[in-house]
Amino acid sequence: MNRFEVEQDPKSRDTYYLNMGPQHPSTHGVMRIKLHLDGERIISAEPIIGYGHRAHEKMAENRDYIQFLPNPSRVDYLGGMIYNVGYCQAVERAMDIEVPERAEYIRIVCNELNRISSHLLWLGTFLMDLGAFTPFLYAFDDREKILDILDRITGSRLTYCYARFGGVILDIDDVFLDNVSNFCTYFVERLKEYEKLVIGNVIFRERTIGVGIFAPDLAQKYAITGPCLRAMGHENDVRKDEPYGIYDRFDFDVPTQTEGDCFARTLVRMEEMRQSIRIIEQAVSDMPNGLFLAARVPRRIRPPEGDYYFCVESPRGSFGMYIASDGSDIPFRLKLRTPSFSHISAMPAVMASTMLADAVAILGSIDIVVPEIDR
Amino acid sequence: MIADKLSSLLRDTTEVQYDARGFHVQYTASADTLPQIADAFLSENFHLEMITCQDRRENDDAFRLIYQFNQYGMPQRHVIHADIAPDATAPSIAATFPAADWYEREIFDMYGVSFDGHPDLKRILMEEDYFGHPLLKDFVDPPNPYRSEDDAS
Amino acid sequence: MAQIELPLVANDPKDIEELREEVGPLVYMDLLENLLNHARSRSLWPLTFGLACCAIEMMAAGAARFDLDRIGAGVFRPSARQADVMILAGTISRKMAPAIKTLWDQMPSPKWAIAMGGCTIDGGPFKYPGQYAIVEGADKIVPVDVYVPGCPPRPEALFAALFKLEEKIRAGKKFKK
Repeated sequence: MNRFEVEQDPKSRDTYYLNMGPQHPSTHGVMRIKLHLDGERIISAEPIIGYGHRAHEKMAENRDYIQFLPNPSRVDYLGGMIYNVGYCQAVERAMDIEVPERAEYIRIVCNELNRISSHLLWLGTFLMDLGAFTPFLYAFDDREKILDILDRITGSRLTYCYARFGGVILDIDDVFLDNVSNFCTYFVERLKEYEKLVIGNVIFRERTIGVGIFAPDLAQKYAITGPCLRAMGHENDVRKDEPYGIYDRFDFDVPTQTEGDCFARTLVRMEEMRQSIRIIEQAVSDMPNGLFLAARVPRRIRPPEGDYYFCVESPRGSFGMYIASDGSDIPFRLKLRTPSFSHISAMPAVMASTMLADAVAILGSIDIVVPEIDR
Repeated sequence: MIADKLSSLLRDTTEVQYDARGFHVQYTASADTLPQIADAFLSENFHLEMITCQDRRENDDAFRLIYQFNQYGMPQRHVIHADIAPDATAPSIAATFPAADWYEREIFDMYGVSFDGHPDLKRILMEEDYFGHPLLKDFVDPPNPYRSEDDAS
Repeated sequence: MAQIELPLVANDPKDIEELREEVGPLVYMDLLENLLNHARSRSLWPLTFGLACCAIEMMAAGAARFDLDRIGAGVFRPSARQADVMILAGTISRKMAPAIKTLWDQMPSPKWAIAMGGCTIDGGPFKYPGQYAIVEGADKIVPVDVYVPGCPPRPEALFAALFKLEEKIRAGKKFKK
């Protein structure tokens, strides 16, 4: 809602244009926002994107499905595992490849660990934007613990190519399961520390409560998904609405808040980390033995002709992959529907009539990754 | 229901296996009925998930625009294919669904398809003064010093 | 401590030679430039210039486990006027290239550049014959001093790069064998 009345009379006040980016200290990446300011009050904000355009969709039209495997991870590098698994699942559904049970459980554990590490990084950088440096160090330290666990079995810390068509490329062992269980026990206590450090902090509350409220009709107008939608009161999660993989076997809640401001989004993401721990604990205790990669995977990936769409719940929202196949082993068209693109296009509506300092808080709270916007 | 509102506007409807394809219904429509289709979806509480385009000039001598609508809560994904001639323009639905604004700008940038009634149709991913439309099948990047092969040193 | 008798004026070469022998072990003489290079190499202030995935590893290098601050390079400056070294972390797109050139020109001398990640070396995983959107290598825009391979390189690799840059600045080895 409008916090302040903005006088629009150009004769009585001088307004000016301020450029935020493409190089600016909030570590969201290279994006430019052209702000039209009246003192410190924002009259309008226009995001200008394209500084991170790397031509993923054109690359998809020049490579076959297997050669495209390294790319999805680099589209959203914070949720690299989730995107990598999502792409594999999209092609597996199109080709009707069956994935063994053990591989499914391994994928779930790695997905949820990736989700927690993405939310931790978001927490650290969001609070750094607001001026707090300590939570950044705490969050990165916990994130290093997750990266150690994943690094040991996949070999990468950030951009993964661990999931392949038909399962995962390397098996896990008991050391991995011990590490994960220890981490879960440790992290549940640690989350309480974060809440004491952050949620109760009066400066944080002043800067985020009532700031950046998404109007109720924004969801339908701009296709908001993910934690931003759940903070507006809608209980929607792709893992519950359109279950993929084996998510329907796990017992977890979808956290919601109703206000739709920055504080609500923070609470939703904190609670989501807790729910991810729940899923991981269930997956680790039910981990079956067996194959980690399907025994018979077609050597040439040629989905039957037609259109396919597959969406997964990324830490930012609903990430969808649209594949138009013409029967050959190179996709005719591969479109990546990324949540950050929709959320940033809603920014002009949310940022109008707020203060400049609030713009930083809003931009941090919607959790964007710029290469995902530009692809 | 959405099916009744749309039946007069669409050419043909195919029910699709959701488990195999990922969406529920696929329609074909002609491009000039798109604003009415968008209004129908808006009134039934659907939102616009994405718009994309395929370069089918070689196969069908057309650009195929693909619109995808979905609902929160109970997913009902409807996909609409609208073919337009290579030098024709399509109507913009940005007035009904503001999300379409940026998707249409991206299609203009990448394919060169213009949208009538769009509030501000300019390039979004490439530079403002870029020449060419990259996602066309016959697009060739002109020689320039940013590429390694042309850099003689 | 032996008492040193210092004459007030030493013009005679023999006197100067005597002075040098007595005073030599107590005083280190060198060019001022070398002293400044020693100081510069141990307090390199990077420009916050994360472009894509490598930026996260750069942030991780500055965080608690791999602390960049202990080698003096933890003070990330958002303003180019206050930075010494530009760590180009991530793919450089053609739309971004003029901005990078502007930032490089804004940095005051002496300045250095580290190209972090495969994308800044020659385009990395995004280099293919039809690529229209990226600059294949940071050295097409700025003169690069150190290249760090990796996709993304580990924070330890960034440390190795900074050590190599420090060697280059001082023109000597950091750790003597």
